[in-house]
Amino acid sequence: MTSIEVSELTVQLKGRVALDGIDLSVEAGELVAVVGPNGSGKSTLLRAIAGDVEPVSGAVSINGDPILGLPPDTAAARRSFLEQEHVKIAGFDVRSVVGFGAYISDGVTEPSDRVEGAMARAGVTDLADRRFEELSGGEQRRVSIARVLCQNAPVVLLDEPTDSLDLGHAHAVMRTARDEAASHKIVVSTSHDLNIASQHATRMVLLHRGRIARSGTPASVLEPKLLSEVYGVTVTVITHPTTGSPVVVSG
Amino acid sequence: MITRHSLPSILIVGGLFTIAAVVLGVSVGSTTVSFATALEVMLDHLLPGDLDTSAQADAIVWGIRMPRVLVALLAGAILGVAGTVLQGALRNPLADSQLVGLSAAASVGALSGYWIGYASSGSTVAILLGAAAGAVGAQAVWWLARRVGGEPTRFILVGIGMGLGLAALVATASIAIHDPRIPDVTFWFFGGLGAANWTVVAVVGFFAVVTVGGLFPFARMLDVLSLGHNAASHVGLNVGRVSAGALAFVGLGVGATVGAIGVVGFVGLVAGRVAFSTVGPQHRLAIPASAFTGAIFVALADTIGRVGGRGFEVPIGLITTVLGGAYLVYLITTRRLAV
Repeated sequence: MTSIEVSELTVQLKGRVALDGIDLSVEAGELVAVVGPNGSGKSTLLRAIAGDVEPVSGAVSINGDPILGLPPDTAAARRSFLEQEHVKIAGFDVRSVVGFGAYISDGVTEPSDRVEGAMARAGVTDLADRRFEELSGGEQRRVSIARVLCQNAPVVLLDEPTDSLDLGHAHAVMRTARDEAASHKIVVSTSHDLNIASQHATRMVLLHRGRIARSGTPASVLEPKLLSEVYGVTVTVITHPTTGSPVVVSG
Repeated sequence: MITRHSLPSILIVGGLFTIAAVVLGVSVGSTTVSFATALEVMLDHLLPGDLDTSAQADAIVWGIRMPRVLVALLAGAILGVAGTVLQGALRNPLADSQLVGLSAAASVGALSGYWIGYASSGSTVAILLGAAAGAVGAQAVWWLARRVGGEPTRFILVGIGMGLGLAALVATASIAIHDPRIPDVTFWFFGGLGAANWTVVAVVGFFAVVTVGGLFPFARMLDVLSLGHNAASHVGLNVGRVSAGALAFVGLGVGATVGAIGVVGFVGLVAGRVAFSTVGPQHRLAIPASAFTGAIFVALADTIGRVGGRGFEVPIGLITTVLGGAYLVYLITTRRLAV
C-alpha cells in the first residue's frame, strides 16, 4: 500500500526556516491539496517529498523508505513531480515530450500505450503532433501534466497544476488528479485556488509560515476565522449549492 | 516526432556531400588537379588493381592533400558533434567547445607537449596531451560549475572565464618561448593543417571513433535533458552522471583536434545549429548530422584557405570564424535563433 510519511520535517532555505516541524501522513487514495499564502512553504514541502531538498532535521519516506538520496531512476519509480516552473523545450512534439515521462521504462516496456493513455487522461490527445513551444502556456501546462502521468509513479506531486489554466481546464485537471488518487495512488497538489481545491481534494493541508495551521476535510480547514488569520483578509465561507463543498469569498 | 529524416537518409546524404568535399579538397590548391585525375588516384589506392596514374598526381593527391583533407574531415566531425552535444546538454544554442573553455584547456596540454620537446607539430604526443587536457578541462569546468549550483548558465560562465584565462596563458607562452618546435600563436587561435600526415589521420581517426561512438549512446539521455535539469532528474535521468560522461567524451575529442590542428572556432556552433534545424531535435539524428556538417565545413574551409590567399595560406580558423560569424548574424537577424 502506497504511503507518504513526513515526520518532524524542518527545512531551511538560504538561512530562512521554510518548513518548521511538519508531520504529515498520506495514504493511497488521497488527493491532498496543500494550500496557504505565498511563502508559506507549499512548494518546499512538495520538493521535500520529492527528495529535492535536504532537511535540517526530520525525514520523508515513501512506502517506508527515505526518499532523500535515492538514485534518480529509483526515485522516479516512486514519485512523479510537476515542477512549479514551466518547462521550456523546443523542437519536440507533444507526444515526444509526454514520452519523456516513460524514460525509466525505455527499453523495458513498449511506452506508446502509456504515452497515449497519459495524453488521453490529461486531455491533450488533440495536441499530440504539435510542437511543444508553439502551444499556449495553459496547453503546455497540460502537456507537462500528461508527462507526469506517463511516469506512472504511485505518488504524484503537482506544484500549482492549475497555474495558467482556464476554469474549465483547471477543473478537468483536478478531476484527473482525483481519478489518479482513486486508482490506489497518492496525489499531493499545491494550489492557490481554495475553491477548486476544496471541490476536488479529499483532504486539505493549510500551511502558514512553514507550519501546518490545519489539516483535514475541506470543510474543517476552510473556516473563516482561521483563513482570515492566515491570509490577512476577511473572508466568508458559503456552501456550494450543488456540490455542497465550501466556497470561500472575500469580504 | 516531427521529422522526415531517418538515420539511413542522413548517412547517405552526408556521405555523398563528404565524398564531394574530399574530391574538391584533393583537386584544388597551388597546383590544380582535375576531378577525374583526383578520382583516378583515389580509386587506384582504394580498389585492387593498378590504374595508370602519374607519379606527380599521386604525390599531390594521395601523399599531400588526402591526409590533410581527411584530418580536416575527422576533426570537423568531432567538433561538430561536440557542438551538438554541448548545445543539447547546456540547453544553449550558442554553446561551442571554444565558448566553454575546452579548446583553451586542450591548448595548454598540447602546447606543453611541444614545449617539453617530446612532440613536433601535429604529432601523436601533442594530440594525446591535448585530448587529456581537454578531458580534464571539461571535468574541471563541470566540477567548478557544480560547486555554484551546476546550472548550464553557470557552466558556460565558468567555461568562458577559464577559457579566456588559459587562452591568454597559451598566447603568452607561445610568443615568449620562441621555440621553432612550438607552433606560433596563429595556430592556437586560428588553427592550421600544415602538419597533417597519415599518422595524424590515424590518431585523429581513433579519437573521432571514440568521441562520436562514445557520444551516440547518450542521444536519448540528451533528449530527456532538453526538459531542463530539474524535470529531467524527476523523470529518472541521472543528470550529473550523464553530463559528466558526455563532457568527458567532448573534452577528449575536442582536445585531440586542438593537438592536431589547433583551435578552429565556430565549427561546433555552426554544425550544431545546422543539424538541429535540418533533422530536428532528436540527438539520435542530430549527432550524425552534425558530424557530417562539421566535417564538410572544416574541409571546405581548409580548401578555401588554400586557394583563397593567392600565394599564402589563410588560417583555417579565420575562414570558419568569418563564415560562422556571418551565419550567427544571419540566425539572429532572421529570428531563427532565440537568444
